[in-house]
Amino acid sequence: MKSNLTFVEKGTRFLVNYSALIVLAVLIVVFGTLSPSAFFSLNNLQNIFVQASPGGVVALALTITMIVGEFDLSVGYMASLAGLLVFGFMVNHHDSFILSVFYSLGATSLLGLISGLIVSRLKVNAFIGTLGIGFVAVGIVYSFSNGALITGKTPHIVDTLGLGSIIKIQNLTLLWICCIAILWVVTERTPLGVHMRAIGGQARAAELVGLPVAKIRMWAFVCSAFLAGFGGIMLSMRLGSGQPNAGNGYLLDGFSATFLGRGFYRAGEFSVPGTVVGALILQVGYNGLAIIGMPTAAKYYFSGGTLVVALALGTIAGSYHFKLNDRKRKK
Amino acid sequence: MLAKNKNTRRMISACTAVIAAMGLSAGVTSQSQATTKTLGLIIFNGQDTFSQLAEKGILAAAKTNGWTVKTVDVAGSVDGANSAIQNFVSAKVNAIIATVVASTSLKSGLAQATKAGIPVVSQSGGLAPGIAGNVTSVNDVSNAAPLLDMAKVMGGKGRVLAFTFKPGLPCLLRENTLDSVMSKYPNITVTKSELPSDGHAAYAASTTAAWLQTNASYSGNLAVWACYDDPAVAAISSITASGKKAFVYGYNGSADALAAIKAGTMKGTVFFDPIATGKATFAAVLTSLKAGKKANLGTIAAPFTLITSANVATLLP
Amino acid sequence: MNSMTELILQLKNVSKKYVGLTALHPSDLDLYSGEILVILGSNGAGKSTLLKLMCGAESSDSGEVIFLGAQQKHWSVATSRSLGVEVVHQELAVVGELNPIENLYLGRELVVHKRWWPFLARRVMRKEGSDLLRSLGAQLSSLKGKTVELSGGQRQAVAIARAVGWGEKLIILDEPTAALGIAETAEVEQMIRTLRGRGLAVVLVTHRLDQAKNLADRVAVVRQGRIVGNFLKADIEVGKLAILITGEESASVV
Repeated sequence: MKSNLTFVEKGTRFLVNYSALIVLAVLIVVFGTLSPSAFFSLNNLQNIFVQASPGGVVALALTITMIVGEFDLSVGYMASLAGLLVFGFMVNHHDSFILSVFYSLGATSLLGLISGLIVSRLKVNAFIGTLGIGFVAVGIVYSFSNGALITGKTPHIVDTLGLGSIIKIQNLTLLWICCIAILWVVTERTPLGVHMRAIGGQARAAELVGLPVAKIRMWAFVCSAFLAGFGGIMLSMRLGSGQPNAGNGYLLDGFSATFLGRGFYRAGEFSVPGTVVGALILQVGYNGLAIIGMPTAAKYYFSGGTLVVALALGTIAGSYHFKLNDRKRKK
Repeated sequence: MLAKNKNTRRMISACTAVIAAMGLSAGVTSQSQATTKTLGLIIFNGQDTFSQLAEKGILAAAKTNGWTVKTVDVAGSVDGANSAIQNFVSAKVNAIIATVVASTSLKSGLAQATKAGIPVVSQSGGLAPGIAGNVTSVNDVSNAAPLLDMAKVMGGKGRVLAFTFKPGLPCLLRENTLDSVMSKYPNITVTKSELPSDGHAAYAASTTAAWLQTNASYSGNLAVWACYDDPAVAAISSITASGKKAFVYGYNGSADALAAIKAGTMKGTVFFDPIATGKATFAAVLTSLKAGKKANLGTIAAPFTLITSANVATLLP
Repeated sequence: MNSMTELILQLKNVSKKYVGLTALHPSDLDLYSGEILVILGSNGAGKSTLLKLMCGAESSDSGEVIFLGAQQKHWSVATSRSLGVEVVHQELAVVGELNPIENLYLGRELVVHKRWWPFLARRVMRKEGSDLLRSLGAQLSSLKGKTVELSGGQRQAVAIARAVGWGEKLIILDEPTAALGIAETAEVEQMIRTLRGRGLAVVLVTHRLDQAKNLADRVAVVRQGRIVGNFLKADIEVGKLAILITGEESASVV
């Protein structure tokens, strides 16, 4: 597989395949230059990772559905629901931590199963189906707590998970890393992962070779809801309370991270490592802007700007591959 | 042989790039030391009029004392508020003010601020471990003032539509006061409506219209109470449109509410001087710094006035 | 046909009716190993119905399907596939986003069981997959890039190779060169000859007379839901075929 590309072409290809990583590196250099002592302190690096962790898990949830060619608008609400429920069970019902987590994730997984059935079996558009289930999740939040935050005495493990760390790495970050590792193995190193990508690529072709398209899509929604709930629980550990709408904002950040991720690992496609880089880009940006003391408006310019850039890069990466191959073919 | 395939190579290059970028930028610059003191200010809801004015008060007080202020509007995100505190700690500010956001939800942020010895003063967010003091206009007396006036003008009987918002602490406390005050008026029926997480005004307007519709044939006293002014003011248009009469009450004394009271479409609100509250909050910061690490100022009350048609002229020319 | 020839699939008196439309009148067709059978016909003549009956995508309203001498009561895609029948579909043969190796093994990946979960045996698949492609004479520019980045001919080669990898008895190709240029068509035609050389029964559905003439050991012409002609190689005349396809004496032959 010799490539007969010119230097410029090689350079362009590098830019396209690694665009997200380049953006991340540029951000690190810029903020590091502007405020080296604050930005590069161990404490701040820990902060960046721990702040990215709950949302990073929710972004992974979204990525799973995106890989199979669907999407899940309910992830933010699912995160809020699980985060609220876990405190509700611990504080109001005095359940153990493990049991509370089990109930909360059970609830979101069940809702995910319903989304999955609605979308994959009843063929309802994912946009409508998952939005509907998301509202159901909000409804459960309000009937469970009347919209109030839940706080009170909780088992010790909540503080340990939310605030503790092992060898300088915060526990929440470790949980994120575990999710990344497991999902990377499943999506990149198992037959299921190949099947998921095949379904996301060309569902009809996947069906013709006998893959259980509807079933895999359905389980993707369950997995997404489970992960979103897990991210929500991590968030509530971080907040020290169950908040009825704390996770809602993760939907949009999750989308940004997922799309930014198309500029890394599998250029032009969604992938677990790509989403991780995407989530870090957002968090480094938010953190850096806060540290150098930029006005609030800057954060929104950054959010909006990165989303647009992410989409543009993804599209460029996709179309660039075609052009390159046109050239190859003509040779 | 190190990089066996494309993806492994990408992972390795990812790590290399990040480490290289860190090293590069760490090398090219040197530390700079701030001479003036810096305040980290967290605005929970920058679209709220009271928050905007309180921010003005804080900024003015900080300027007088020669402080610089870094402001972050977290747009209602508690997670964002925690991150903001942590980022302020990284940026080595001297003190932090968190407005409105419930202090009990700032666990990881407060943990870091405490560890770094940076005092966090809350404005209207309540007390929690790690909060040096809470400056609040929300207390039982001010909460009850419009409710008592409402019960009086209704003659102790009628129907009330109450807009509540549990995620906001002042609203939650006022709702508690609503419950306790109204329990003494058995002839007043209260219908609660919880405001959604956003779009309060539109929600209040449409809910009021619907509520008036269901009470179209009711001839007794009607009133609309909201835990802050904006939904109350939004309800007025629906009341006017329906042709029914209803007493409208709110809190904060926003410009819109004061104008409505002057016009006679709104019955009452509680006025907190937001700028004075902001200044008081900054004063609490200075006090807590003087008090040192173990500063515990508790709840600091900000003054209030119940505004009705009788005294609105003192605020509006 | 040589002495090794074996009767693979027999369609006896099969037919298919859809609501208000007879797609195929009762017909007979036999498929032999080591033989390329070309099915010719214009659009809507009943070619694809015949193809679906062969692979079990549709069940016949009448008659019987006999595979290697055994009557098949439930002839479905799953059954036919398990017995070594593979179809190369015209459009959706491969998933563009996957690489050629992933496409070759899609749905039947080789795995290493690591106690709790099956992992892809990536190295084995790459080795065996590239051997298979090479043995069929397919030259791919890359085995690691996305399949969509390959040329049309190379993509078709991947699709055919997959069919060969799993179809041990019968390969059915639906218009495999419809979207290809001259050079690429020649490559794919060469691959099809290789399949015959391996002793497989090959069915090629096409509307190109020249291709039929080039490749076929036998030609079946379908028109208006009937098999109107069944010729051995020696009897193939392009002019005669054209008339059978269109049903008109004056049909022009290109």
